[in-house]
Amino acid sequence: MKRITVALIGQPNVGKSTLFNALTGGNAIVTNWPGTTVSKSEGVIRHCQYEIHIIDLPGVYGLTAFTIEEKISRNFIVNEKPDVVVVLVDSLSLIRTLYLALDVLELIDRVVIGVTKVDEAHSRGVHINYNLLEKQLGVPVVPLSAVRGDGLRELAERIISVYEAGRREHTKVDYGELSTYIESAEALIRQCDLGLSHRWLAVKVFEGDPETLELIKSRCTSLYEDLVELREEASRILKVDPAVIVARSRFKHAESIGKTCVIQVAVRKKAPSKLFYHPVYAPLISIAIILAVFTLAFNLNTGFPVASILESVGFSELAEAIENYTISSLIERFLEWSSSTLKGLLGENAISLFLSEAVLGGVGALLLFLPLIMTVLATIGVLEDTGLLTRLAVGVHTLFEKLGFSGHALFPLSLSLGCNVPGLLVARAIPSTAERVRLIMLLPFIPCQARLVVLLALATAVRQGFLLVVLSYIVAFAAFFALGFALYKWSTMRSESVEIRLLLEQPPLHKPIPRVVWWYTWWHTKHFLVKAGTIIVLANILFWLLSHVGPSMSFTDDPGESIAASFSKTLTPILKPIGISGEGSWIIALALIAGFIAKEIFISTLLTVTGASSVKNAFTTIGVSEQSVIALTIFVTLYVPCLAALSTIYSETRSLKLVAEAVLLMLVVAYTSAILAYTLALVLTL
Amino acid sequence: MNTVVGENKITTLDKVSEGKEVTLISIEAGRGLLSRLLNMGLVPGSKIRVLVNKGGGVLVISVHDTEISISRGIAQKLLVRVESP
Repeated sequence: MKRITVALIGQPNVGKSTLFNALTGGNAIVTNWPGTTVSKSEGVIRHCQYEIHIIDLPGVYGLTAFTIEEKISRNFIVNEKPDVVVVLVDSLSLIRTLYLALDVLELIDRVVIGVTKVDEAHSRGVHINYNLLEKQLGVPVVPLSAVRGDGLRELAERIISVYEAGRREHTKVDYGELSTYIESAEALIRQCDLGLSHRWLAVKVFEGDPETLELIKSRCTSLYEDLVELREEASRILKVDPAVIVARSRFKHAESIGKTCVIQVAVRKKAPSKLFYHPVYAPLISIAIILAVFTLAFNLNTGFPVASILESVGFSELAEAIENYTISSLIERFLEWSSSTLKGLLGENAISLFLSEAVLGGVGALLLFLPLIMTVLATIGVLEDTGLLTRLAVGVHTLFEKLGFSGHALFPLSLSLGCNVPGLLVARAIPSTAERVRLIMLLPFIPCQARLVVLLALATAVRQGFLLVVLSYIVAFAAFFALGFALYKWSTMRSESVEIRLLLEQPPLHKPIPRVVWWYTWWHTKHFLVKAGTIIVLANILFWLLSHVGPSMSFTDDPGESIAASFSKTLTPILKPIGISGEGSWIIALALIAGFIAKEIFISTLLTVTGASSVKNAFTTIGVSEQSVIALTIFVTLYVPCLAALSTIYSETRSLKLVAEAVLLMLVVAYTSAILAYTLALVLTL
Repeated sequence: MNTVVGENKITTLDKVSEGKEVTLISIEAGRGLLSRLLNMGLVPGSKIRVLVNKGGGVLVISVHDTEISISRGIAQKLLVRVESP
């Protein structure tokens, strides 16, 4: 078996992830790029004695690197030297996507060009002469349809033939008036061999690629000044930024290829749906669509809000029927059954308790939320795949702009309704750093599915439970936007870069493709499983031990005697302002500490420690008034979502200071809101 | 609101009315944004068709067969030539 390493690169929206999944059949290993949290997927295909390792690089528009993603893709191709690079271009916008291909072709010997979405192109009257395209580019060109599976075999064959064929001449783009300068730079760079195409490096100098300049500065220090000087001279004499000339020339080259290889037959072109861009209707329609799809997903998960509404208007039987068949109640019943079976098999002892509560409890929490999160992710997957999501982002932009966020914030915001972890991760795509940091600080305020389940459980302890849940969501969103606006204003006052920008490609609208939606869902679910999963399971075990081991290090059946309890007892004065005091108030403190690890343990702690059969009974046992439950619910909604979210904030910002600030902000906001809620509840029920 | 532009007039993209096709002349932006715009196909010399411009909010343009939505602030950085009708 010969091993071939292949880098898969393409511009955003060319269908790269879809193709990668089709190639590897979803059997990819997902890790992170070293030193970052950008996901790295690697898959293997075997074809006639060859083992082809495919590495999916982040989607980039060009090899000039300014963002994290661009740096990863550029550096992988430049430094890791994969055997073959496959560049994907979009048959629907061949010229524009050939741009990246040309950038790669100027640097790399062994390249295969994959032309994606050929099935769609045909129906839109786009015809491409692949043979001619191949001739003009000087490398193999393979037409592909990931959805139908066309061309995948040929792609593998072409990768092998290119690998075996060896070197070829680099493509030469004519850079017009800049040519003489590029040649001079090339001559300079030749004096200091960096093992890369001299011409490509010269072009990158004129494009102002920070990575190239850095490389030259450190390895060919004596040349650096001369090259920068040359660049400035070109800029001065040509009166244009050389980066513009490079881009223009490369496009001209792409255009000349496009003109000869593409025939566009007139088919009736659908006008872009202007509804999504209307100044008044667009925000309304966007918000209506978002509310509708999330209500549907929430309802499937927990029965909220439809069942709760039915209940409050008197159709309690119907509401119960719905609640019995929501995903969360089905899983809960399964977990109860397995826990009691386990206890039955092993008898009631320390080990069976440990297994059923600490281990199964943590795994169960994970199992319980997995489908809930997947429903929300699938919903967003549909929006994304159809091209609706980017339109909705534009729809809400004008509204968000007034609050200090751009339309880009819609993606992380909606993912966070499922789970904060993937929400925090996609915030990376936000172009403005200041906005991104603001979002990362505030996204934890958005209630995830775990918190929804806890809120619904708490709501059973008050008379107007449904209203309490709705109120919690309103408070959470209000906190998110109010603080976002405050932070935005603050950065304006410090006169940092504050322009709220939106720059989004709008892929053509089409019907959702179930396979693609599944890939999207699974991709983000993996993040939840790997990141949140490990932390939740481990922390749950640790917490269980702390609440079952006494200060003398011996096992105890009574949680009141445990280490965790004695620590909680010191915290009880904090609960006084929301009306929780007395003997059992430490149980609430303990549950809140548990909730810091993961929200769902809040309820299970409350139930196991009090030994009550329902949340309502638990509160009665401890002696918590209805007003205090309301305050507690608000607190639970707003304070730290879970350890996994915190660790994600850290890995995304690499700043402990920012994590501390975020935690402090959440605690302060949660505590003040809770006291406010308690006072209001007291006044209203007088 | 939309400024009426005469023949071969040079203006910024945000002032071009809906349905008009213009040619991009230059971009006044910092390195990062400039690089992103160039790579997305907004290269001087490109033909840009303004699909949506309501005089406020986001613009939608078509360039090299791709629909791109851009905020007004970015559109103000794009200098374009309006060809005679």
